[in-house]
Amino acid sequence: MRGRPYRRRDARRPHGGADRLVPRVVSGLLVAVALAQAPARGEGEGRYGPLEPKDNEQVLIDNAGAYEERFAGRGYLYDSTEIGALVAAIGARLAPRPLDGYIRYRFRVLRDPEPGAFALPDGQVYLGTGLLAVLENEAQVAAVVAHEVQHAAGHHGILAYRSARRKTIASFALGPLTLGAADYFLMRSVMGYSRDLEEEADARGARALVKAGYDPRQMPRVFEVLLDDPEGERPAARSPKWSSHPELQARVAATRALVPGLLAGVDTAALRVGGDGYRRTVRGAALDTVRDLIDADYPRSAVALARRVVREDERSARAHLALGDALLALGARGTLEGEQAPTNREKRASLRARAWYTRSEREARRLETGEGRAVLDANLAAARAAYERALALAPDAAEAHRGLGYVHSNLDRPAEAGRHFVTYLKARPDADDRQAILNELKAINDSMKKGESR
Amino acid sequence: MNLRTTPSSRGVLAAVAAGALVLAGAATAAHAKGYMTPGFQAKTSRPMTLALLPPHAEVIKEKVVMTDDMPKEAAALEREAALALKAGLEAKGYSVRLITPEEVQQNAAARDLIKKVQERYDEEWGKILYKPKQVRDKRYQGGDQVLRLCALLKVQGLAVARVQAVGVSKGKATLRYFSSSSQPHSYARVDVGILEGKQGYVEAYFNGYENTSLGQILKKPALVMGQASGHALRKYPEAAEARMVEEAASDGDADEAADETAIRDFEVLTGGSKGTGGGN
Repeated sequence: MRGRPYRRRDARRPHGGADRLVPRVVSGLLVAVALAQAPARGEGEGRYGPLEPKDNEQVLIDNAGAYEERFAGRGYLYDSTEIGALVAAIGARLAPRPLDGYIRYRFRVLRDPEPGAFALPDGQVYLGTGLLAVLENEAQVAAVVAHEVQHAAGHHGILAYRSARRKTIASFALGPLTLGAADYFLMRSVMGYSRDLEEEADARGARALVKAGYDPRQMPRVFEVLLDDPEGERPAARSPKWSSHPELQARVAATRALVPGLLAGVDTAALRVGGDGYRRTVRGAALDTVRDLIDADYPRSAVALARRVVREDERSARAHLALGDALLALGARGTLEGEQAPTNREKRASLRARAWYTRSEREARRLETGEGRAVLDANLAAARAAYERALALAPDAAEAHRGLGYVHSNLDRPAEAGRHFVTYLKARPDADDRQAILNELKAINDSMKKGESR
Repeated sequence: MNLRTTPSSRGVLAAVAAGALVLAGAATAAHAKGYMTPGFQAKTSRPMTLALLPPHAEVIKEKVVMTDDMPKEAAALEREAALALKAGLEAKGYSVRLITPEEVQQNAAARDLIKKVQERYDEEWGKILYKPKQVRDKRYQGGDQVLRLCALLKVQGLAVARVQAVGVSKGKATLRYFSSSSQPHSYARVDVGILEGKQGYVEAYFNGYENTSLGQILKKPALVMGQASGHALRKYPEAAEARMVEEAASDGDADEAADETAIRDFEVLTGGSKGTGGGN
């Protein structure tokens, strides 16, 4: 039955109806040309007055409440009173009075090593620990919050949904007429709309920043910080037209261009930046992020962040321990510091390998080359130095012995490795990684029994 | 019996045939698959006590115009999947501790570990879906977090579940029917991975699949999850069942006594070494 319309048509026009194809192609091309002119930009614009969601948009508000529960139930919320209070205070300075009953601003921190932030249509604003860990001062956090608040205040989520829905319906009608070309322009238009809303949030956020007493010069700096890619796995979008966000370089330029106008007649000395105090406040979160980056297999980012924390507090044994753990996790991977940045092609290849091969398979492939082995030795030497520095600063830092155990184990020195593991196990009898260390020790015992030790 | 077919009786026969086809379709519209390491089959690395982590569910409603994510409905499926899997595993003779989202919120010590285990499992799951048979070769690893969490929860292993449910709205189904593209299809699928607490490997992976409807997904989550979870656990061995597999001989020596003598053994081997003098 599903094929019947085609059978009917074929019966009427056994050769496929070529006489009808030409006008369809011509009309399709005309519509395509018209569309190509129209949605070069999405022409997205927020609505900052009250906005009643339509029936089919209410799901966005309902979902936002469900996501709030999900984040809590999955343990995503970051547990730090001090950082929570800081973000909430910044949010309170920047959030406008809600004009809709369904918007209630609340500002939360998610435990997420990715440097990101987002807002939901009901006024929830989330910042990731990975973002807080790399930002340099309170004004930069405020810039991010100001941007996200504009998304909620301008109802960007609802308007983007509404626009995409309208365009999808239009593509149903135009799709057959344009031989599918309408779908291409639909996607381009949806992305363009999203980019417009992002640009609007940047511009309005920068204005709100000044109004709240923060230095707007920190906003372009946020995008510069986000441009940093220590992992070498963030390829640029193939075309900016297919991205929901403007390119970071373009955002740096656009927000920098706004600054002179925003600072006209403003006493810049009175604007708040809050550098040192901020970095002290987020130090614990930065160290947690180092651990999270290691666990998520982003050791280059972990090393970069750990080195920064060490620079900020050279006397912290915990920071040196974190650096040692990050260097150890690098394995046979080199850091990209001082190296030529990988090309987009290499970045994509790296992402593909991450998706296809397990962590141990990728490490085994790196170790197949002499270069990989040399990199591993260098990383182990650096990790050893970091652990020894931690022990010099805090002789009871038993975790440094655990790290040294792994270093020696990788260097095929089982006796030394075993001694450090035993020291750790005796110092931390209730450590939750006891089983993992005992596994290492048993493997060492087995290899020594077999006479394989040197 | 009169077998003459009148217009009305033909209608009845057609309806009966259609019903039979639907039933036949339903019989084949559910499936169960399972992949286990030799050690898991032979019980040498099969956890007898399990902590079932909160399942992660995704519910997609395919509508004519847009496709909606449905987190509230997903939460209902997560609850029901957890209950169904717990009941199913206990019926097979395993001891199961169900970790609820409320417990995740309250237990600060376990919270980060649970999150990391779930994230690491997602990383492996993405690969398991493509090559599930390689579970048998211990290709997939949950990392040290699995060992830590098992130690903290005092269990031998973890059960991690993923639920996917796709409900096609009537409008979308009708549109697809007439546009002669692929058949509209609502389904629920439950995937269960078993991570062993001594080495952290994914020792077994099971999935169950059930054709259903959007209405059932939304209104009868217990029924849908009961069916899909039942299929997922169909190939899970009974606690008492141990299949002798040749490769299992060298697999998973989960001997607690050997663990605790490791320190003494090392000191004997190294001539009474007292460690490196650090610690407290």
